[in-house]
Amino acid sequence: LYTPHYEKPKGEIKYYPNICSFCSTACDIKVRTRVDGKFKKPQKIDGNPNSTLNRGRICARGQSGIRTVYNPDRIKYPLIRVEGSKRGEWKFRKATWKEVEEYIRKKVQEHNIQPHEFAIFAGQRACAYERLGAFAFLASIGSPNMIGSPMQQCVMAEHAGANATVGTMTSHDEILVDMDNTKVMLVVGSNAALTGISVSRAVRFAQGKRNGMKVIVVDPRMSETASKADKWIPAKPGTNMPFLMAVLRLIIKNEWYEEEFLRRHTTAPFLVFDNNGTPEAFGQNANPEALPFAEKYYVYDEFSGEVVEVEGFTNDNIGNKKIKPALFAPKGLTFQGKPAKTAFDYLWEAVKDATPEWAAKLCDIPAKDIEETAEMLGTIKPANVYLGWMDGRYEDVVQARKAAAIINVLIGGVDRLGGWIYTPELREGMERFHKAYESGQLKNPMNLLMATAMAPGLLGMTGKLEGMMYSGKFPMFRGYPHFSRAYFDYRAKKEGKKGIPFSLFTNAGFQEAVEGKLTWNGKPYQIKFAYIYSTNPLKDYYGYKSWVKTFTNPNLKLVVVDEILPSDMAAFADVILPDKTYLEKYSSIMPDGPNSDMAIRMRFPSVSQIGDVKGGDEVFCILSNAIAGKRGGDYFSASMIISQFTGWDMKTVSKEYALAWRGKKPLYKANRDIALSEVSKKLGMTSKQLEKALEEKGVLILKKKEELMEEAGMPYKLPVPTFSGRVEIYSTLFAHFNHAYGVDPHWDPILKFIPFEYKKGAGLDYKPTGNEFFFAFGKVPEMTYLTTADNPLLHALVERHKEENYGFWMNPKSAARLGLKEGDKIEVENTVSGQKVKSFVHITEGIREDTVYVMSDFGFQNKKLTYASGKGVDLGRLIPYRLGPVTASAMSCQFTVKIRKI
Amino acid sequence: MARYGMVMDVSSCLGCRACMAACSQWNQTPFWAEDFEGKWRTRVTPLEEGKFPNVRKVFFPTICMHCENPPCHSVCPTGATYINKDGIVLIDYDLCLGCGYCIEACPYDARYEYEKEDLEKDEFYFGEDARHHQVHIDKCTFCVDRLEEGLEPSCAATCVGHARIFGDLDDPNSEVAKLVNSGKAKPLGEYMGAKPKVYYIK
Repeated sequence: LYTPHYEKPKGEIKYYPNICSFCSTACDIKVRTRVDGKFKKPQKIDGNPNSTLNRGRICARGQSGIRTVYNPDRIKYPLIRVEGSKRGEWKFRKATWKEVEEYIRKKVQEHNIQPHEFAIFAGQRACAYERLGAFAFLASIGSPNMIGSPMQQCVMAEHAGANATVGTMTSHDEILVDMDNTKVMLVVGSNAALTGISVSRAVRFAQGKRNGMKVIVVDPRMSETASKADKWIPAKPGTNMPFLMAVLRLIIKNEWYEEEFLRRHTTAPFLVFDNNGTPEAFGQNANPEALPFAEKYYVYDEFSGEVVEVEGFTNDNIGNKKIKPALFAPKGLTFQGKPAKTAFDYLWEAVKDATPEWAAKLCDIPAKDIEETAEMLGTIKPANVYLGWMDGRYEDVVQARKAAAIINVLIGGVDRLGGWIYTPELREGMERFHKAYESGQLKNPMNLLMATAMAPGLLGMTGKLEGMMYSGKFPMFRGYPHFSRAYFDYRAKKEGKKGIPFSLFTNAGFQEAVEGKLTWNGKPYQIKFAYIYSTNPLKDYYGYKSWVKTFTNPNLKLVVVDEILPSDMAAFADVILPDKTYLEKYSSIMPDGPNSDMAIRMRFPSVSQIGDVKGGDEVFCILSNAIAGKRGGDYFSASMIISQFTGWDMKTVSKEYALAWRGKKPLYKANRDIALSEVSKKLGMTSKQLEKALEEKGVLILKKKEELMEEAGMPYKLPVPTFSGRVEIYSTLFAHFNHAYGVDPHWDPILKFIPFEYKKGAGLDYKPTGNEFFFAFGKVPEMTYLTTADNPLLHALVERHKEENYGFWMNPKSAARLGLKEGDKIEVENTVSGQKVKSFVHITEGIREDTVYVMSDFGFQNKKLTYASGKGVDLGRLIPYRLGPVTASAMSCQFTVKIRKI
Repeated sequence: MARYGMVMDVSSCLGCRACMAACSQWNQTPFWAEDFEGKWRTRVTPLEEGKFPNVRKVFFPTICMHCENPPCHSVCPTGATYINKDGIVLIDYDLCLGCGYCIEACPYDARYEYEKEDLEKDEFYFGEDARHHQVHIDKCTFCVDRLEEGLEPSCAATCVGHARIFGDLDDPNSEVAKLVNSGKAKPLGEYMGAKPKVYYIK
């Protein structure tokens, strides 16, 4: 309420649509803005009511966005480290953009830095919103070295198992689960994906609950999601795999699976043989150099009692043929001279001994919890399994997530109401790819590789990985692969360890590349220049000390950080570039995130220029020119890549990019103008009309999910983005890894129990005693790591319940045993790495006795962060830098901790 | 004329605290206050009961109950606290002495003092858009200024779990009236006789 006689500030109120930038959910928002002539100041952010993604709602972070724009700690001008100072000391002087460009150009020339000696850490903003700019930038300088930070740190390990099964790999690697229409949902692991919070998921979760959805949550601690569950199963950390295997066993044993779906649309009936201890489908493309597309596979036809061929890449095993592919092969079947079974037989064999009693013992829960879960999932329709994010990661995570995905497939939860529904982007991409594949245009392996790299989901991911990043043959990168490829070779030679097969845009090997340990084709392969855009490796990549060592290594001639706030990473920069916040940015036309409806949207700025900040997109052009020297950045190559990725007209792209690289037009505006002209044509309107419609509505819903499922249901009408086109119980990609990287149970093509050790000698049945505990971490709804750290309003919200946010959760019984009271100071030691952190204890019944839990959103150290500095636990100092076997993601919880009172 | 009220569906509150952030940004409540618990117009408080593994956790949202018989109203010596035509309990900042009787009188702990330092901080964070210019007692207004524009109160408009349902209790077709008239939603502390217009589904 205004004071009655107070004069309101000048101007009128307008609304500008935007896309929230605080987490990967990327909600549609509208920004209430006071506009006075050219002056704009945002007043309040609301969810966009036109949005079917977040349904007009946003979370606390979204509501607090304006407080980040006007954060008193903001970096408002380019900064150059004072000569004679050391990285990490925070001694900077204010500079202009011209100075910065000159500084970088000089350093590049002085040290003769080659394109492959440059690496970009493409963090949250680059990964989620400016992907096109980042790809264009790398192409323009000819470097293959992208570290897509949220991918590896955040989602790769978690989603690889599900991706391999259903072929997804889009917005945060996930599909938006249709919770409105589901009756039962099993949530495995982390809270982050639901009420931790992802609004597009949380609105569906709440609606589903109101519609009567039953929810089962498996999580060692009482999370926000668990508090809403009908059944909370606090299984021991690290035991998701046995839990899921036992559920899977009961579903198969009781025949609670959708038989027709499995026969027709999945690889379950594929005939498989034992290839030196690992299952392999007859017909599997065994060439390690080629992508695993195959000519044909084989099934056993129950009608004719014979083995019949099925197409190599299709959505349907049966089609118009009069066959009935068997899920279980007859006993003693042989094919091509070898004993043959179906993939489904192998799946059953993998789980047949996983009784509820066996799993219950490992999970330390009652067996009836497992039985009830299986029965609910198996007998009530529709049902689905929900995979969390930022879950504890152990070396079995990929197989565990594969098990979860397989359960979802077995109970029929794929692209149906109440199940996992594919995004329109995946459907469109698959339509394009399938057409090209069918027409025979892709017979040439080079064409296939290129088309696959541009395809959606898993296909695109693998194509980019094996074709562009790993091959060392991609012409744009002058014959150099991503440094991680050189690292895997180094590892193989030095340590006898295999490569890490599924590691696109990974940081694996970055430290070794800086240290000068890597070679390629006999020549040294060293990283000398790192550009870190909106990510904080010191904390989020784990192993704080090793990253400090890397960034202070004199081999690294130039460290440039682009940030909004003085992050821990920024302290180690030579040059800091000030980024714009999302409320200050335009964007190109963007798809509507993980929305299962087809929609487009765009950002419109609602803030007048602050300081001398530039958006990340503009910075790409400046850096590109500075790195390329006299000749300027190669915008033609950039245009080529972008036109391939988007399908945009090459001429239009190169014309616009020429303007961008010559400083005549910001890159975001170039991308926006191209997108407007391309998309408006498809919609039968002019660019101007489309822009106006987007400005008015923020988001345009083009097609509803029901219509999309009817037209392009996957796998019902179209192949899914796997190499067989089917939903894969047997993964053709993991079988390919067996050929390319050697056989390994972590990437077993069907399912393999991985009995890992928490620490040496402590297997899955380990029971810590005394002051030793299992370790779990998660996420608080009000924060998303660096993106929201230091926001004064969010800071106030988390301070209100700071005990649970900054301290280690401990069960009262354990606390009593250790003589600890609420708030007592403790030292926490990692029993595997020896790392130690200081914290305090928060006593709660919402945690297992053998486990301690901590929030992962805090622990920033840079003293320039007024609100966030020194609060909570820096996980980078407790979790070691240790690469997981399949995706190079950290094995973030595979250890125990010891707690001591201090 | 309306009789505005709110239903809090506690079973739908996800504990995300979007409401608190939304309210604070719109109404410029003192999120900067050193006592982080003290100065909010709305709060979500986690409550935990039971022993592991039979633990129940709920998130309990509270605001001013906009009582029909508000104790804060009867104790106000200057008449600064008033009830508008739509049944919303408001404070006239010009008449408010800041004596704090109402803070003591309110059985729902809905009021706090907007102090001098808060005015300074309000200007620090919001500049010329600062909305508080004199010391006064502060509380939820159902975002009466948003209602004038046809918008819902900030907290209800953004509630992710749709746990806050706002509307006219006199309109039998409104969601709030239906929930209240069916007996599903009940006020807190009915025995105190303040006749709150905020109802709870537990």
